Amino acid sequence: MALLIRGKSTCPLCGQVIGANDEIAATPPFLKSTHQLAAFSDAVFHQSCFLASAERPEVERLLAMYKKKMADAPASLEEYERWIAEAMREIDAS
Amino acid sequence: MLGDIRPATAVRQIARGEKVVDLTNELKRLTFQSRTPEFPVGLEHAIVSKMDGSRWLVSGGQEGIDFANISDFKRLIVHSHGRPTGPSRNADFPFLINNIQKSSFIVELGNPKIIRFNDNGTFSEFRMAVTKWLF
Repeated sequence: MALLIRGKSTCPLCGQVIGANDEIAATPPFLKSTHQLAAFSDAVFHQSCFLASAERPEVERLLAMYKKKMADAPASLEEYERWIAEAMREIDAS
Repeated sequence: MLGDIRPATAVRQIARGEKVVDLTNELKRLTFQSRTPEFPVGLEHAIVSKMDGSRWLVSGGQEGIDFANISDFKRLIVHSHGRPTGPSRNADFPFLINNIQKSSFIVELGNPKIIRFNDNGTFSEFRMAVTKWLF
């Protein structure tokens, strides 16, 4: 999940600091670092920057797919740790 | 706000001498058990140090943690990921630079190893038995 220090962290889309009262958009770590949209995984943006980005529709599609799969995850941690790699194959290949 | 980022909230203080493997498993378990229908990914958990030398296990939101509310925040020791992705170029690495910190660790659900990531953009994975990140 994304790490933020308001007043220090910068928006990766505009390079400006994310201020104490700025509206933000954030994503969990849902894409591998090798994915073409990895820059949008596990990140915090100014909300206005994210809403204006060309990649937003595809990011939101993949994020919705990820959360849907997570909602169907096994109930035990041991099963989950075996399940997660196979469950994410479709997202990783998108 | 798009995404659930919450201020860091203390779960408990870490005692000196606690084992890395136990803390790693606790981070994983807390992240996993915090999943709900509204937040199916689970909430981020982390261990941080403060200027007074104390270490705390803290929780945040599904999309992340804002540490700005910890006035005497010193160092991010380790944080959790809900799935194996590796460190992120737009949050994890920049966090080290902003916090003037050389390295930190990531515990990922589904990854038996622990990740050390560095402020120069590199990272590596270790078995927990050889990882000393608390003392």
